[in-house]
Amino acid sequence: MENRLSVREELTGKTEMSPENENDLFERLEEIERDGKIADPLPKADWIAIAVTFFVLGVFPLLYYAIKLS
Amino acid sequence: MSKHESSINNEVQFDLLPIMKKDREYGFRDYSFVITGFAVATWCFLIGGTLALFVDFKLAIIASISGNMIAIILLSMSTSLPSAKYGIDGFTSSISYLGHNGTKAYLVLNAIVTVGWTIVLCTLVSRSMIQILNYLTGSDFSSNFYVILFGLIVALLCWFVTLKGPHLIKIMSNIVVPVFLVVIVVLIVIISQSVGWGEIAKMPALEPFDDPWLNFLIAFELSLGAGFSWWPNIGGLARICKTSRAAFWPNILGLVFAATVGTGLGAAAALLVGDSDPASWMIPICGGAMGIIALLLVSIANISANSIMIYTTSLGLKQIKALFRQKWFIVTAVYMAPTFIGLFWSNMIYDNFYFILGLACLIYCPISIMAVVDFFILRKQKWDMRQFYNKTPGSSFYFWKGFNPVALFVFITATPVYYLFLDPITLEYTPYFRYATATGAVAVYCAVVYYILSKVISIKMRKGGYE
Repeated sequence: MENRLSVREELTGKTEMSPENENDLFERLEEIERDGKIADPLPKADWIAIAVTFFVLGVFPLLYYAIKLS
Repeated sequence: MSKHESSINNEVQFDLLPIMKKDREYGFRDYSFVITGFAVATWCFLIGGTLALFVDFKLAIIASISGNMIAIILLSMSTSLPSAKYGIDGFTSSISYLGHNGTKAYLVLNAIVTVGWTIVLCTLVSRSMIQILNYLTGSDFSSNFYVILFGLIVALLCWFVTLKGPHLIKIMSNIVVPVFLVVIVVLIVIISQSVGWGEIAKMPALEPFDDPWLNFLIAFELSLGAGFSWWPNIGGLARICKTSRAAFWPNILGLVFAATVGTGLGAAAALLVGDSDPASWMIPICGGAMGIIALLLVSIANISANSIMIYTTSLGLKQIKALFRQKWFIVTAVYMAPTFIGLFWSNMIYDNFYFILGLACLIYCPISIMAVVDFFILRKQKWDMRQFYNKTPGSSFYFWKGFNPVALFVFITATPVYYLFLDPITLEYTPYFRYATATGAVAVYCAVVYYILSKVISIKMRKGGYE
């Protein structure tokens, strides 16, 4: 509750929104600040998969054809 | 203010709110379908036809996968992952590195690229209508006058659909995905039965340069542009996804692999007919009646896609204070005015449409790279969400007068860096282009300069809310 008041104190009248939307915004911001996020970030395994995909299907073909075609 | 106007303004404000977990609709499978339907569209045929100018079928597929993969991974890191974590779209999140006013300037810049796409799609419909008329009447309506005239009529129709509001757009967009699946399946069957993919693979590029490596590099560069062109759309979609995983991987499936199917098909058809224009090759490949049906279906899809672009970009423009209080008709007219003017040069823009891909690289690559450096390295994946919504100079995202001069400097100087390698409008390249693609060089430049200047200027002067 304390945190919510703090959001209101800081942002009321500063968001360029209608009072109805502003109120909705404050409730959402309070929830995000309490949890630190809405969705969890990607797990480590996904980052490894992204790096592998980036190099194998993105960078590697470029390097391969740089050697083959030039 | 009318009820419709008020609802549009309410939608603009509501669109800016973070979307919470309970309100999110897309799981991994849902988003995969949505993004695939979005990706496999007419622009794939256009891009495929353009790639066929420089490389053969096999290299077109490889360049498309490789270029799109790099662009989409960077793009997804810059918009999808932050959007999924905090529930805001890419434009709102860009406030953290461009500043409140910088983002508004960026919205206008984005509208310019979208206007370019609108002109291209209007011209494609116009040329499709002309092909149908030519076939049915035996006369020739291919002159510049008719291309412009039909283009203007199509633009008016798209504007009408936009003014009618989201309901009509929703009905039309529901038609697009099945329509395109039908067209793609028909084309695959016809090409397989008529010449076969083995023969297509042997066909040479239409108008290549002498150097095969340069041809591949240009195809790769254009594919990067195609990938980066998705920037305005995917952040908004990612925030409706339930998990970060659901927001990230379907982009690879849809915007890289599914889009490459459409691009490959466009390249194959262009090589087969010897013409990179999808409006020209539908009737020769599919035959009279089937070709006319295909052109009509593609035209409906284009009108729908254009209406969505006009609607979403105009909604974005409403975030600019001068336009927020204006009537919806006026806001959309601001978007349509340059479209109507540009249509008088429709043939020139359409025939050189790849410059829009270059423009996309020039604009979205620096933005994506700055976003990644800012969010993942400088802010360590943490935002003070209040600062996005505090529109006064008291917000730490206000930087200086609402602009982040570091981002402004990096963004402006990225253009001459790009030109050091390639002219995106004429595709004239310098000797350096052989050793680093223009977009690759811009990406490295932006990452290094933005990081250093942010440390030296923004963080040292306690601007931007960096911890």
